[in-house]
Amino acid sequence: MLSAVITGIGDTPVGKLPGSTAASLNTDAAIAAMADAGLKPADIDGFLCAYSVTHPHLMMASVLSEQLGLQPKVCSAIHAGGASAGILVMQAAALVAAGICRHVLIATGDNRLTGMSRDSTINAIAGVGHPVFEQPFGLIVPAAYALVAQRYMHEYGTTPEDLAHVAVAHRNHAARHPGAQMRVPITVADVIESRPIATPLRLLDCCLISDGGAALVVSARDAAGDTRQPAIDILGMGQHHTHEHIVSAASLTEFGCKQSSTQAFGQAGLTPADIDVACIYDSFTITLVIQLESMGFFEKGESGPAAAGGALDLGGRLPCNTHGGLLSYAHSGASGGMFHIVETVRQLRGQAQGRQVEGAEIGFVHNDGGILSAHCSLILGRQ
Amino acid sequence: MTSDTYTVGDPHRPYVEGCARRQLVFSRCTACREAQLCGYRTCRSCGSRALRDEVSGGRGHIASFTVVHKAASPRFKPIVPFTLALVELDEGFRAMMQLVGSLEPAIGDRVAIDFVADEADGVLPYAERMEETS
Repeated sequence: MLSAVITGIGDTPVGKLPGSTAASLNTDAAIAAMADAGLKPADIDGFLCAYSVTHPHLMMASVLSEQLGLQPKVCSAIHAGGASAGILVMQAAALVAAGICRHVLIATGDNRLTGMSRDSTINAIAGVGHPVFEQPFGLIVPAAYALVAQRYMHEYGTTPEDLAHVAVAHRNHAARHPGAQMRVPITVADVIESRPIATPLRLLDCCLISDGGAALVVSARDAAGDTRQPAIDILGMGQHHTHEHIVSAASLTEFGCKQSSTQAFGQAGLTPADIDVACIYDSFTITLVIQLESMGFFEKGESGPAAAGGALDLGGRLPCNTHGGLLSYAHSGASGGMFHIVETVRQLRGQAQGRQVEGAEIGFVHNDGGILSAHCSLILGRQ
Repeated sequence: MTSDTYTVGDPHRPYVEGCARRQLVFSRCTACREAQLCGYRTCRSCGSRALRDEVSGGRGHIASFTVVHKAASPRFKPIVPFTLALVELDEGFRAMMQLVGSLEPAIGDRVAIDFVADEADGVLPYAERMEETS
């Protein structure tokens, strides 16, 4: 068992938040996490944050620490795209396990929706495409995932209807979360008839663009007594990184989630069958399908039909993204992955009103960044 | 520092200069014979730095494709929708380029590479499906 536990969570409203800034969202969430844990700034001896597309800064962690009144021993930012949140938790866990810190505050936040136009956001994110081998040809991030989807469907028989069932399952979850950005019910037909973005992916196969922030406190096990909520164990964690650009990926169908989850399950001494609730990165419907099948939750080609049969719903075999995920709850950059972690902690604490997975004891979180490039898996458990 | 450990300038230069000559230049590992795009500092298969530029025969097949309906920036608006492909060249490396002449190919279709001048990016490769002869 690791000697790191999660002792605090905090998040802001999500969606369209006029007047919000990256800094305000980070600090609102951070203040909420400290309050949730019952800790004061003086108790925080480690601060980690991620990046902002609207407020790029060389010293973002120091900027935010200054605003929060922290003077920590460890203070830095981790830039790993959508994998940032999980990697921040893994880093914090390593810091408390090494005895360097007692309470690490982790913050993420960005105002991607109101801070820039939709086209500017898409262009900024398309800037991660390879400048010589991808950008000149007009690559956008959805197109990179579409190239993966097309190949995966060719090899494993996954259909557009399979992907649509995943999108519908997420909207059904979001309908139970009063704060979710998109709660209007959708059908499989709605998804398949939505505007094509990059075939086979359509608008409703793609994640949202949102404002929002979320934060966490990771504490040393023997410091959990300083805090006031039921501590959540970090039972296992793992990462794997294979490439950045899709043109460089060794495979168009196998990705680092396999290795990162194997590490996490190995450390925890558990298997996918032990998981009661999961929050797995859903930047696109295909992202979730590939990861579910790679990490051993479903056989290849089976997660779509399983979703159609309710497997990802509250009463199903693997309640997944019970807040609605990036597809229907919100996606504001590094916070996307953090919303997944916060939701999993809420489920394990029994604090997911209206959408509680009964008796949830073991949770699985997976974040990925880049184009299925950077992967981080966490296994969390109720004490 | 010796000249074989210090590179001045852009490691992608052989590919970019090759395009201007209408040649698809790639990187061949002289230790294990694997092929890859230009610009990596080591062989992604065996880790060797004994890499050498080679010219591709310009033939391959479609590993994947997508029809893109959204412009990455204003200069792409006139061509939307267009087809983006990942082409597996016969030498064993993968490259991204636009596919012209057909919107929806099939994975596995044979393609031939040619070049076109682009006002923003110099000369770029593109792929075209090869007609089956029989």
